[in-house]
Amino acid sequence: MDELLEQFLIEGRDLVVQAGDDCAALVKDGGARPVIDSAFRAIHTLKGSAGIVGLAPMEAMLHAAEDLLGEARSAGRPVSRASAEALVACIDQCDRWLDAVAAGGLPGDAAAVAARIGAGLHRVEGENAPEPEAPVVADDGWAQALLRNEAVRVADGAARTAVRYVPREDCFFAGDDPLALVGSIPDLLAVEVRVREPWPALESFDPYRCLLSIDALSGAEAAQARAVFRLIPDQVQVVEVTAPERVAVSAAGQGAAEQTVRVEARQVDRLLDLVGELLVARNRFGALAEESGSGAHSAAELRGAGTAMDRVLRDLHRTAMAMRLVPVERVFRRIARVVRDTAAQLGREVDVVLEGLDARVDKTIADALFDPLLHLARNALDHGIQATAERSAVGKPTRGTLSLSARSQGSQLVVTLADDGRGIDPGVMRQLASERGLMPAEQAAELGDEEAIQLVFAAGFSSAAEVTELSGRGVGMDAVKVAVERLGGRTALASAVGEGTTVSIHLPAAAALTSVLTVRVGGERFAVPIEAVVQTARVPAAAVLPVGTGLAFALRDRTVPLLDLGVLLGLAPQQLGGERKVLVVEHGAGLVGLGVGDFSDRSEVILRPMAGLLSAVPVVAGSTVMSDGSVLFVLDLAEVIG
Amino acid sequence: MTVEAEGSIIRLTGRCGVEDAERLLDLLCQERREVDLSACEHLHTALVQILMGARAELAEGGAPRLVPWVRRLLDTTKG
Repeated sequence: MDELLEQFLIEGRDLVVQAGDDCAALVKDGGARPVIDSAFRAIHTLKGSAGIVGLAPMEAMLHAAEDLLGEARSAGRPVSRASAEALVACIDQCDRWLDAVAAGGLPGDAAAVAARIGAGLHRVEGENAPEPEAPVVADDGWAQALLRNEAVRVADGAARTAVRYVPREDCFFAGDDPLALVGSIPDLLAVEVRVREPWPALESFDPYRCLLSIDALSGAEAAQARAVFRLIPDQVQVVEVTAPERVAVSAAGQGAAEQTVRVEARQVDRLLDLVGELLVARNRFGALAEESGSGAHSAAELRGAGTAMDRVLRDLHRTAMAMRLVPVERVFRRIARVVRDTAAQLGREVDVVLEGLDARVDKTIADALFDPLLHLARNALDHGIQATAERSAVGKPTRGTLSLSARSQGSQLVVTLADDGRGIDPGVMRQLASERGLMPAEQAAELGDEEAIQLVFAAGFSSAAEVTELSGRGVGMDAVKVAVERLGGRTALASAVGEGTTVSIHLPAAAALTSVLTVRVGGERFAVPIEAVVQTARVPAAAVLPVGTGLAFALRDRTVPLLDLGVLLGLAPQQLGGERKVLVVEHGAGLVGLGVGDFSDRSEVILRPMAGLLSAVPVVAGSTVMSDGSVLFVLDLAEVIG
Repeated sequence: MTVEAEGSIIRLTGRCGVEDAERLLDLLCQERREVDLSACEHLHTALVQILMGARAELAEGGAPRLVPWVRRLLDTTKG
């Protein structure tokens, strides 16, 4: 993907989030000027960027949105709910298109969709516009914007008059040549030409319909400019301008921008890798300190230096991990958008409430959270929130509410998705459990309400009868549960009949990403934290010598005891081949070699602490779910060696 | 005739008025995108609007007064 487009996709997402946020606020309360300004800025920038990367339909559609907001700004009037909703639809469409562009390009119907949405924006704008009135000379919102836009080309204080000329659509028939007319303004400093609606497709272009709106800056007196348009005073506004409050605006903008630096996730990962390698090198360092042993003094000094290095390394590691934290906002916004789309598709009226958008979580988790959350949200729409008629019949507000919130709780992030739908009926669950063969009817009947509700998480609970277009994709809540567990989290569900359902997901906020080495021992696979490993070695069978009752081998002039990891774990001893594969680990004051069947590549995994019965097993530090779905125990080597 | 096609290039000559709009649109619809304004003395708004709408490309060189200005207009349409 070309770099410009890549950059656009990154920035575009942020701008869509900002604009979507502002427009959603405008739906609630159309009046707040700072919100209108912020939405205007985000949409303006997004429009510009879309144009630069050649996404003409997006640009045209955003232009209409910008116009709508621009009008509201200059007229100093609030944005109506209808307008704000049209803006939200426009931003949602941009979000969809960003997905499409990331996947290859805009869909074929983009221009048509842009035209429809753009026209919608114009229509609501027209409906809400006040009765036409004589141009107010003090009304200089657009003029100030024009001054700011043209600041690069027009020296401060040079412009004295701003002209906004909106020619009538049929002006060409009247013999007008608007640009020529603008060209005759004395002391013309700058001209901006805009199109008033999305560009029509070339095939349907009416060459005799004027679609333009022209803004100009002049160094001449307002009266001189007005004289140019004396025959068409109804189509122009001429205002006197003063120096803009440009400084304040740009300063505020820059302050915010400089606090963050965009860093590619790849680079942060690389940094983490390097920190990991440093940790391993540090382990070697400790071993060398022992080996060097030319004098007790120098060994102690080396150890001291090693300790200092440890401290810095831990700090570095923590900082690098923190860089991977991202706000949940983007994931939440995408979910909100899909929920709106889906609700519209189902004819449900649903408000999406988002809370705790600032809560931060590891990027890996944020990315992986999308699918399970989407599934939960679809479930809530499909099975939870009732249709409007049913809701009013039971005395609920006709608009359903789906709230998605996040909060930090210690080192955990708790994500909650709640609906105010019909809730889960434990009676129905018991019945379904026996019908679907999960358990005999008698056993199901004995389940408490709480237990019965939890059956939604049981594998194989969703049946074909339930498979709908929305949530039925061959996965049920059990898939959500498994996906969350893969992230090192857990899922909890509460529901009250008639009131709604709440699903909470507890996740480690900073993914405990641990570098592990996978080893094969006695036919089983285990993971070993790479921090514990000083080095791996292949020792020829001939180099393994019996020492006392055990075995040992020489490693750089040192005799290292060799233990069999299989035997230590109570599994079969390793087959003795031509060479022994050995993990060299630090133990107490020295090194120990652990014979293994094989070792494979290192990988980054999310370490889950052991729960339940297994937590009593001391040799296991935790477990991890590998990308192929298999569960691997992560060994606590210090405990294993004992 | 002030609007002519030469291969893939559309050449505008002299004072191009609103009456040339249809012809220009027609040529642009035939997948011609490059427009040469070097001999153009005046461009009616209707034609400018078509060039903007069609995202036309301007040929290099041309009338010092008109071309940079139209080029900037087309650029703002794109960006």
